[in-house]
Amino acid sequence: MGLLNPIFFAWPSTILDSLYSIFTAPDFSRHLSVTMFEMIVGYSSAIMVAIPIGILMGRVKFIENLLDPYISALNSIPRIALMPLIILIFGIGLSSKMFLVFLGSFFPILINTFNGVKNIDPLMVDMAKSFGAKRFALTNKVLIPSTMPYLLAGLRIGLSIAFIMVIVGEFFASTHGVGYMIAFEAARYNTSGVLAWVLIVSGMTILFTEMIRYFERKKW
Amino acid sequence: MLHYDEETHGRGSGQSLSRPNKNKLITAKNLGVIFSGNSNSDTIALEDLNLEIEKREFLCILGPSGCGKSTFIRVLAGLTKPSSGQVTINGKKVTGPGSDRALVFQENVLLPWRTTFGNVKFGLELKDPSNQINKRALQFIELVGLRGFEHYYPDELSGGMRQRVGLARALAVGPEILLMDEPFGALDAQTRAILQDELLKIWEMQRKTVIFSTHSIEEAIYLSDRIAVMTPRPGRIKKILNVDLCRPREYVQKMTPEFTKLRRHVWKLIKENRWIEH
Repeated sequence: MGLLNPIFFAWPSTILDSLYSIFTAPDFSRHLSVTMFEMIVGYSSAIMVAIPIGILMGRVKFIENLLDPYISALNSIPRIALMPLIILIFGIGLSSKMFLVFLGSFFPILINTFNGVKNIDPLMVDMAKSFGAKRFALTNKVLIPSTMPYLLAGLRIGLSIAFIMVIVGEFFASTHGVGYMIAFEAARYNTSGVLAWVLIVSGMTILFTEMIRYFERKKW
Repeated sequence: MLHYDEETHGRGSGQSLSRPNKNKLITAKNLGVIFSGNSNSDTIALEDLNLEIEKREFLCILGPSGCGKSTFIRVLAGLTKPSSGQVTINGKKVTGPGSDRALVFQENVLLPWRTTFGNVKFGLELKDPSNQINKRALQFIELVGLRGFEHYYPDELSGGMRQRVGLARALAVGPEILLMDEPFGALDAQTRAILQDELLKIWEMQRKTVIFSTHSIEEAIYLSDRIAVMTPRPGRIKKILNVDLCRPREYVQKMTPEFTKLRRHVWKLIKENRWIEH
């Protein structure tokens, strides 16, 4: 087995060993919770800001015209390029990563919500009105279900970018967290350790994605 | 069996001549609708449209595409506000949608995330959110012949079936007036013929007032008591024809000489339109 350089690859058995030592290490929960916390705060604040703005832009043409050019411009900046600056401003604590997560997930959620609201079939709105739907019923029974697919797509995309941001942010400058540990183990050439942490990240991704999928099933 | 009068409703005249009974349900007077276009070009969809529609009659609005049939129906439904003139129903001016009217669209406009049952319920639940409406919804699903398809989604249904759902939805709210905007336009000829018969069958049971727009001469004659022929844009009622074919109508009537005679007459009228107005 001299073909497989142990620096680049690791046997599944060694990965399992690493996983075990990770789980039993005293600071595992700290690293995990740091990353989870950064993700949750950044992502949920992005949702709370992006969705209302997206809805406003979709419904009010004036706002759309006002904000659209800025959003296109800001969106085309690769967020990762801003990372050093953000770390400089926010420091290596949790807030820099939270802001990165926010930045990463904000735009996809905004743009998708905006498109979803904009693409509501006016005929469907007319139909609902013809049967006597007023403001509240219109929103609940027509607008929200109609926008849901777009919104959920935006949430999913936002989520994957958020993960990238948090991990890379932690690579860059951090003292704790899953990304930090990946960088740490990589620096020690502990490939099985790196892969073990990567598996943990996938576990987190699956967890968050399942939560979105729960909403996908529910509204439908 | 065929006997028709012509009444001309042009500019200025508002009273019908050979129908003296005061059974008028809907009146459109000097109705005008102008849509403001983008580059300063306004589209005059309807201009000085006058029409009186009687209770319990089946009236077809016949006209070419773009003549304003849909616009007129939308005004009747209360979705489009007139730029001039007015529409009254039972004497009261129409200012918006109401529970006395229900609309059936050409594109049927079903909510794709709801099943047949959910869609038929839609109009009902806006007025009554309880579970009592379920029975009524199921009754109307059965009426349009969709028993067994209650839990199918629109994309699992054929075009004809979707139109039936749209019809059930409209009938379920128990409107006095049924407004149908080219509902069978997107269907193939056979499905169309079948649905025409089904519509008539359902109508015979309750005889609501129906306003049905179409550009098919055959359909207009087959279904209606009266046909209002519209001019091309700007739309106005050019002529009203009585169709005195005996009811209940049957498919075979379409092939009788009387039917053909009427058809020829209507066709001449429409061709004349195009010649004069353009």
